Amino acid sequence: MNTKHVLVACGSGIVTSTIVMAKISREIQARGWTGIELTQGTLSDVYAQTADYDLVVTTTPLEAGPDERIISALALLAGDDTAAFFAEFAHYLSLD
Amino acid sequence: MKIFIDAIMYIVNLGPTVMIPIIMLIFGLAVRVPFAKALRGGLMVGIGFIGLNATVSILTDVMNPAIQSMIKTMGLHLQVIDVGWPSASAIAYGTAVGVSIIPLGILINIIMIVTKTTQTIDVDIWDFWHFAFSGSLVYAMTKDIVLSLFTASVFMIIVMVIADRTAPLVDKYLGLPGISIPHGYAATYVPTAIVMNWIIDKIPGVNKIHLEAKDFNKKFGAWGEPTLLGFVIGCFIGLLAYIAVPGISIADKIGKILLMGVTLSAVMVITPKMAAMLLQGVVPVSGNIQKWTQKKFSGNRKLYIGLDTAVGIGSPVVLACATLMIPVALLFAFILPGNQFLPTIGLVGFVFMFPLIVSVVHGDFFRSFIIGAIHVVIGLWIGTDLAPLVTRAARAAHFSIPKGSTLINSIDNGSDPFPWVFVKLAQNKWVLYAFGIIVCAILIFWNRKKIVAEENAKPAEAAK
Repeated sequence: MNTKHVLVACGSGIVTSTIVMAKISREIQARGWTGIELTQGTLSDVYAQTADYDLVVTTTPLEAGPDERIISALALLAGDDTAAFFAEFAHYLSLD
Repeated sequence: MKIFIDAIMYIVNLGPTVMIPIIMLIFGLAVRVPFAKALRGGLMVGIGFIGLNATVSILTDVMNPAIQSMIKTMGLHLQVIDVGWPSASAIAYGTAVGVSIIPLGILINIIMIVTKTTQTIDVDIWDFWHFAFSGSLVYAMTKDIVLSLFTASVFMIIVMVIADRTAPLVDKYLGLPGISIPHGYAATYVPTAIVMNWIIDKIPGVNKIHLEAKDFNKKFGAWGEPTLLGFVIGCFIGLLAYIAVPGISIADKIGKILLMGVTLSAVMVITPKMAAMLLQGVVPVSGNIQKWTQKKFSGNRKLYIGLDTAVGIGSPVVLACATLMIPVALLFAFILPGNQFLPTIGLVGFVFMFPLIVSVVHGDFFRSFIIGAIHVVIGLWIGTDLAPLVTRAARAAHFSIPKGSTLINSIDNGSDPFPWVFVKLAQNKWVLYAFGIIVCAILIFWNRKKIVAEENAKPAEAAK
């Protein structure tokens, strides 16, 4: 199976992206998903290299981004219902 | 009180690489993180500290000779090295004020929520470092821990009120419902941005200018990418430093210039990785605090979730302005009289100053740019002025900064209006006490009045 590459981006690849990375990793383990590689980066990485990734997760709702495969992880930061986020996540990466 | 302060001072004097793991372990256990996880978290923070210390050393080692050479051959007196905000945050947490800020900040937030003087649950624990940063500068100057903690508290209270009052704008112009941004670096510009926006409104012609940001990002959005940006800026500084040095061959000069480019690029890329490691250690603690406060206070009252300014950077105007600030800061660093600040590593942090500025000007690109640029240019002066204190605070946090002429600061935090005002007022501590008490009293009464009025309006609407 091919590894799926996900870019997790915030302003400078330090604070909010680390929080989101931790939450996504935990969920990936809990659901037993495999073959997903998370990379941490910045919003300018999103503009520079979205084409290299299967999915981009940003910690902010990105208006008018360079591509359609970009989803917002705001719900993970605000502590709201996270099911919708992971449904979207699974949909884009074709996971069950 | 004395024993408490002595205990803090003992732990602080061990140096952050030992102190922070201990403190984070204690915090972790206090918020019921399992022991092994809490210890690992604490150690990750210490590891991040050592990593950031190393990146500051790498940077100062190459920048120092370059700066000396620029002074000698070009007469350019730009001797304040920009270490970027990740290192500034480590400095802030590595001082006596930093140690106390997390419990103090949570306490202030809880008191403000209970007394209805704020509507924000600030779950962005990490960013308490901004409050600690101002406090640390006051501490570096006065050695007065009570005054320094007072400074940090005043900063936080002002920021909480700004967060509440800007929340409806954040919803409308950044698309973030139910969220406020109690972030020191973003909020510091709000009062002056409101004034500047009002002035722009009064200037005929200028008040009609509107620009579009979306297409700009498609073309230039990738320019802030640190690998290439660091290389280009490094080569540029290397060129200025070594091109006119007499007595070395062109080949050697090119070698030095390229070395500068690769090194700056390296520091720009490595610094965030080190800071991210540090954050991995903070996440278990801040996560548990967030769960607890949200469970405790979410209920019938309307409360905003206070998040990092990073949640607001998806607006095209924010990103476009941040990209444009890079050339603005570099250009003015060379032409602004009296400036000694050479912005480098911190250039990628401008993105965090804009979410609240953009909200205040109702999403207008032109106004955000003008207001941002004025702040960045004035920030060069503030950064120059604060550099000796930041350097002293960094040494107090056991950062290895070579003796002699080297000064450090961060363009994206050591050059803000709030810290500067606090430091200036702290020259007479009673002035700072009086200022802090009066400003906070006015703000919290005003905010409480607004909150209560809003709450009373709701049932009336529901009754109709």
